[in-house]
Parts: sequence; structure tokens; C-alpha cells
Amino acid sequence: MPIRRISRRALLSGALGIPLSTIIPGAVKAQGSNIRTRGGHLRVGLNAGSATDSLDPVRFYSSYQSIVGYSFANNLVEIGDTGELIPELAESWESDTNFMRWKFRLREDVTFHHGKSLSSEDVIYSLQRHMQPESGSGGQPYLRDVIEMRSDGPKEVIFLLRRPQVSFPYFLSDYHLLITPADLSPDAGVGTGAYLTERFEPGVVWEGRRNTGYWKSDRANVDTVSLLVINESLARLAALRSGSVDVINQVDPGVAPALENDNTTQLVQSRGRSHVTFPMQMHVQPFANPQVRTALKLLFDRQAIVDQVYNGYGQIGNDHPISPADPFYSEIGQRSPDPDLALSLLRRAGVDQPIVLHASDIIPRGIQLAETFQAHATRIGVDLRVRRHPQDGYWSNVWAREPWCLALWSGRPTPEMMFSVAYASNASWNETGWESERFDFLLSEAGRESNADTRYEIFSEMQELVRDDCGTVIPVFLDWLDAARSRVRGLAPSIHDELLGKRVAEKVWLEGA
Amino acid sequence: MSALSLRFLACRLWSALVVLVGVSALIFVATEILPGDIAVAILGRAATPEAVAALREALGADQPALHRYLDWIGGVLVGDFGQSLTTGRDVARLVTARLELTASLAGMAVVIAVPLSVSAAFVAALYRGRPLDTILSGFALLTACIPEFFIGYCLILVFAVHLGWFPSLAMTVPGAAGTGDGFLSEIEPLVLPAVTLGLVLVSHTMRLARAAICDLLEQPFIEMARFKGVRGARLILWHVVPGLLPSVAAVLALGLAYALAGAVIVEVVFAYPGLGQLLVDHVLKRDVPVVQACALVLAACYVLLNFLADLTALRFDPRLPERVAI
Repeated sequence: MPIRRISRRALLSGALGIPLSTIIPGAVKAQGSNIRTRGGHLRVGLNAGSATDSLDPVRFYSSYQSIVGYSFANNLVEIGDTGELIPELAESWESDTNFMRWKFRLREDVTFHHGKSLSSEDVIYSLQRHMQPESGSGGQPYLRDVIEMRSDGPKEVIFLLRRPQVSFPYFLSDYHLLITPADLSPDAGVGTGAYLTERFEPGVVWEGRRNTGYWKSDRANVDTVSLLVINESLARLAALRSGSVDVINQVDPGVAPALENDNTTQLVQSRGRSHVTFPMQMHVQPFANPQVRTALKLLFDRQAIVDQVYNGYGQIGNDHPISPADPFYSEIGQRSPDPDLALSLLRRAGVDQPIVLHASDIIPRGIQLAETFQAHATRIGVDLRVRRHPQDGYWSNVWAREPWCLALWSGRPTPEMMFSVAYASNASWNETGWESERFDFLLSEAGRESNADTRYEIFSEMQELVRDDCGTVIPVFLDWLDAARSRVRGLAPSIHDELLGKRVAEKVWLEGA
Repeated sequence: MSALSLRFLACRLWSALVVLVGVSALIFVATEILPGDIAVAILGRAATPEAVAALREALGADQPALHRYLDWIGGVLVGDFGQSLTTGRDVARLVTARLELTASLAGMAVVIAVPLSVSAAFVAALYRGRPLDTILSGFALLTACIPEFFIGYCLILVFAVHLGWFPSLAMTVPGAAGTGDGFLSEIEPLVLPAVTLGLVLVSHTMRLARAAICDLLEQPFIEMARFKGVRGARLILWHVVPGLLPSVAAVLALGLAYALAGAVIVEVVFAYPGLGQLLVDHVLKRDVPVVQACALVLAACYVLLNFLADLTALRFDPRLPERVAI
């Protein structure tokens, strides 16, 4: 079920300090009863937990940790299910006219689990930890432009930025940038969130009890929550079907139809921003040749990939990282497959060696995806070979090291966030080595442009630049597939992320609890 | 106990120690040549060269290998396995907690598997060459051929999803399907994984035990007993079983060791937080102290169980000391 798109204008007004109402018009409509019931025990079976996990947000790297994080802590701002900005710990914000000085006002009524009242020092302490160069935090790129943070009284925080950043509030929604109290160890599992950490066994379970004084009055419906680590996809499914858990994430697309047809379970399909990329090292032959790059983009039938590899649970990509579900998705025209042109381009480029694609199942169905590419290439006589790699060590040994490989991105709330973490010339995760002066110029222009239509024009040109020049194939945007027992209510699609933007614990309720 | 037996014991103990030292060296070398760097693994995709270098230094990863090996072994000898590099938690405590869980799963699997396989082996051996033997041996061969995860999912499908008798998750979850009170509620989640592991053990144990029984039944002393008119249960209990104990002990030791070390796949299928899962999680993060400790503990289990099997053999096999004495 596709979700309602939010207009560009509304999206922007949220960023500029006129927060939208916390009630999202018509976006979340639960099936069946809409009357929220309190109570019950919610058990969620989740992927990607490890015995090495920590509760310290600086050390977060997995979806499991972020779901735990959103159960006990909050951000300054929240991204709603249609991608809009919602005030969370910050009740309002404003900037100066050139978007380099931002002032966030904190809510008055918020206390941490141990009784301390939320103040600006907690915010500065929490965010500062990510900005240390040696922290290794995944939240670091979003704070790179922050020169200084200072408090203006206990309830106001001022950010001074290095360059104009019109959508800076969105940056603060990243799952690493949770606010923890300045007077406790950051891995204590104490925050301002809906549930108090009762028990945490890394790689096994996190358990929480309802924060009776939670400041979001319409959230935190269930009494207790268990977030169970079930890394194996089939094991998650079995746990759901046998009633051992109520909700699971990352359902395999192959079995999803069976859940849709089962009346004891519900499948929630979200059209999102997560996508698979095929980055080529643009300074390595044969990928240094633009003809080769274009040929590889033309070779494949994207719709066939979505249908065969992902069982239809996805949207075709246009070789740039902005999802068709995003309000800034450009209507520049979808690239369609042209194997004949691809072949003649490869011949003209004089490619005589086999082209090697490195793949791993750390990307959902990655090996199958690569092999489908191979099949499409073989059909027209192009020698494309797939090298399989184990999941272990893929990101450090293969990704952005081998000349051509597969990668997975979760997408970002705004195009400039996505572009600045992975496509700007100096981006830390620039996986192709692409450098475009025009693109970098447009990115900085977008930072100072507040007019929604002008921003659309800018992002449109940037999408076109990535599609045509950058050495990456982006064939598919993957749907988030969550599933639940039918007694779970309020689980709806979200463009932002899986499981209601990872805030499943505080948003759902149990029928008959 | 005779001097001969003592010498035999000392000999076994000494070789066990040598094996353990050799294994520790192997483990260390293996973790050394594991591709990938702890600092990179901890920092992930956000790693900058400066952050990696700083972290490597903080972790002591820049020290020479021999130095680190001796450091490690020195610690192990006094029971100090160090701290986890990723979480800073005490490795000994981490491993002990998980070892208990894995041991209870393996123990339960053995409790299920041994009576089943030994009695099946007796029936098969006593009816050797007849249809019953073919059926039992065929079944054992079949369970040996089917991978554990397939057996596990089949059991889940039938007993958790359709019948709802047992939970599909082996960890105890409050409010999960089929949880009662007390001892039974502790055991219940373990049933399906233990049966899965047990079935794999049955195939090995039963075939080995059957061969041993067939062998015994052809021994002259059994023939002698038969001539004396000993028949049926008495023949089996008084003449076959004592002769069988040494080989069953050896099979049991190997089976238990296999169940301890090989439970990892079953642990994944049933989301059971055992030692195998701990090992896998820390290999992925290149958290070497935990990996080394897990591997060493599993190796020590193997050696210890084999040693116990030797002891049993010594107690029940009158021929052994002479054989050692030669």
C-alpha cells in the first residue's frame, strides 16, 4: 500500500521552524479498531543484533540497536511516517536568514528516567560525543558542519554552522543523535523515552517497562516490551507464525505473499528510500571509461530485477539515490534498458577482459541480484562474472575496494543528506570516487535555498548528474517488509524506515490487551 | 589402582596438556591471519585512518605477535581471559554464562540421543540383516544426511507452528506460547533444539554402537556364554553391556563434544544464545580475546571428554593396562 506523499512545501515549512501539528493528517490509519488500548506485553523479533552491541548511541551501527535506542531515548526532532519533520525533544526551532545559526527550544515538561530534568547541557553533551574525531560514530557526518554548540539558558541550544544548511533540523533526526543525560554513563540505557531499560543482554534481548510519566501522551501503549534478537530470517518468520513474537522486521520477499494471505498475520509493506547500489571505482579500468559505465547502466532490465529477485516488493531505480517515494524525486525520465546500445558501447570501448562484479548476501538477496545481472549480460554475449564473498568483513575488505561491487544504503530523510554523505566529492562514503564541480556547487546552493520549487530544480539537476555521470548503477529501491500478529494495531507503512520509523515500541498497541 | 594404570593416566594427562598448548598456538595463529582489522571492524564504515591507528594503539594491537601470545597464555593460566575489545566486559564471565547454556542444550540432546540410539543399536544388531535392521540403519543414515537446520525447521513447522506444543524460540520469553511454571517451563523451550541436535547424534551413535555390538556378539566369550545356555536379557546385560561400555563412552564423549561445538547451527535456527552464537558474533567484530577464549574452551571440552572416555575404558576394559605396558 503506497503512502500519501507530503507536499514539498509542507516538508519545507517543517524545516523552517513552523512545526507541523503532531497529528499527521490522514497518514496513519490502522486496520480495524482505531481506539488505542493500553497494556499488554509486546514481543518484537529483530534482525542484526549481536553479542557485541552496546546501549551507547555513539556505538550504534545496526537496525537492532536503533530500535532499542528509540525505545528508551528520543531525538530533538522526529521524522514522521510520511517523511515530515515533527518536534520531539525540541518543541520549536528557528534560524537566521542565512541558515548558519540555529536555535532549538527544548520542551519544558521532559525528565529523564532517573528524574533529572532535560536541559541544554544534556543535548550538548550527547551531541558533542559524536563530534570527537576518534569516536567513530556513524552520526558524525551529520554534525560535520557544526562549529559550535552553546546553551542559551537551560532550555535553549544554539548551533553555529560552517555553511548554510537549510534542512539542518532533519540532520538531528539521525538514530545516533539520541539525547542521554550528562550525569550518567552513556551506555546506561537511560533516556527520556517511552520505556525504561529493565534488562539488556547483548545479542539476546532488551526489555523495557513503560515510562509512566512519558511526555508523549498518545504514545507508549503497551506495558512491557521485549526486543528479541532473531538474526535468521526463517527463524523470525517461524517465531511470528507460532505466536512466540508479535512483530518481526525484514521479512524475506519470497515468503511475504504467504503472510498477506494468512488471516492470523498482517504484512506491512513500506515504499521507502533503502536502495542497492553498484559502485564502480571510477579511476580503475575499465570503469574509468564513461562508455563502459553507461553501457553497464543500460544493460539491465530493472523491472525484471524487481519482479524476479525481490518478488515485486520494490521500485525500480533510476541510477540516482532519490526514491520515487520521495517528494523531491525528479521527473527527469526513467532510464530504460537498451542491451543493443550497451553492447555497441562496450565494443567501442574495446573491453576484452571479463567484467567482475563482487557480491555478497549481506545485501538482501545480493548474490541472486548479481547473478541476474550476469544473466542479462550473458544474454547479449557480455562476459560478466560474479565473485561471491561472505558477509563477514564485506564492508571493510570488498566494498569501495574492489573495482565493482554491491552496496546497500538505507536512504536519508532529505536529498542533501543523502548527497552529502555519499556523493559529494569530499564525502566520507563517496564509494565511486566521483568528483563533479557542478554537483558540489549545487549541493552548497541547496543548503541556502529555502524556496521549495527552487530546491526541487536544484535536486532535479543533481539527480540527473548522478544518473548520467556517476559510476554507479542503482537498479532498485527495496520495500521495508514488517509483519505482525493480527492483534497488533497501529503498525502502518512509513517512508522513513522499517517498523514505523523504528519507533515501533512506542507507537503500536495490542488489541484485547 | 595399579602403578600401570597410574602411568597410563599420567601419560594421557600429559598428552592432553600438550594438545591444549598446541591448540592454543593454532588458535592464536588463526586469529592472527584472520583477514580484517579489529579497529576497522569496531569503527565500521566510519573509520578514518587516524581513528583506526589510535584505536589499534589503545587495544595493544601494535605489539609484536609473540609478545601478545605469551601475554594471553600467561593470563589464561591464572584464569584471566582479558576483556572484550568491543564491549569491555570480562571474557571469562561472558564465556562461562554462554557455556552453561550450550552445555544444558548439549546435555539434553545427549540424554535424548543415547538411550534412543543404544536401544536401537541393540535391536538392529540382534536382528542383523533382517528388515528391522535395514529400517533402523536406514533411518540413522537418513538423519545423518539431512542438515540440522532442515530438521530444525521441520520440527518447528510441525510442533511450533501447526501443533503449538513447543515454542520455536529456545530462549525463555515471558508470555511466549506454551510457557508454564517451574522446571517444565525451563525445559520446554529446549525440547525442539535438543531433539534436533539429538537426532544428529543418534545417527552417529547408533551406527557406531551397532557395529560395536555386532563385533561383540561374534566374540568367543559370547559364544561360550551361549553354549552355557545364557540367553536373552541376561546375555545382553551381563555379557554384552560391560564389554560395550568403553566404546559407548568413547562415542558418547565425541557426541557430547560435537553437540557442544556443533550446536551453532541449531542455536541460529532456534535463536538460542549459546557459546557458538557468541563466537560468531565476536568473529564478525574481530573481537579476538573472546574468539580465542571460546575456541580454547571448546577445545578443552573435547580434550576433557576424551580423557573421561579413556578413564571409563580403563575402568571397564581389562585389556588396556597390558596394552599400555607393552
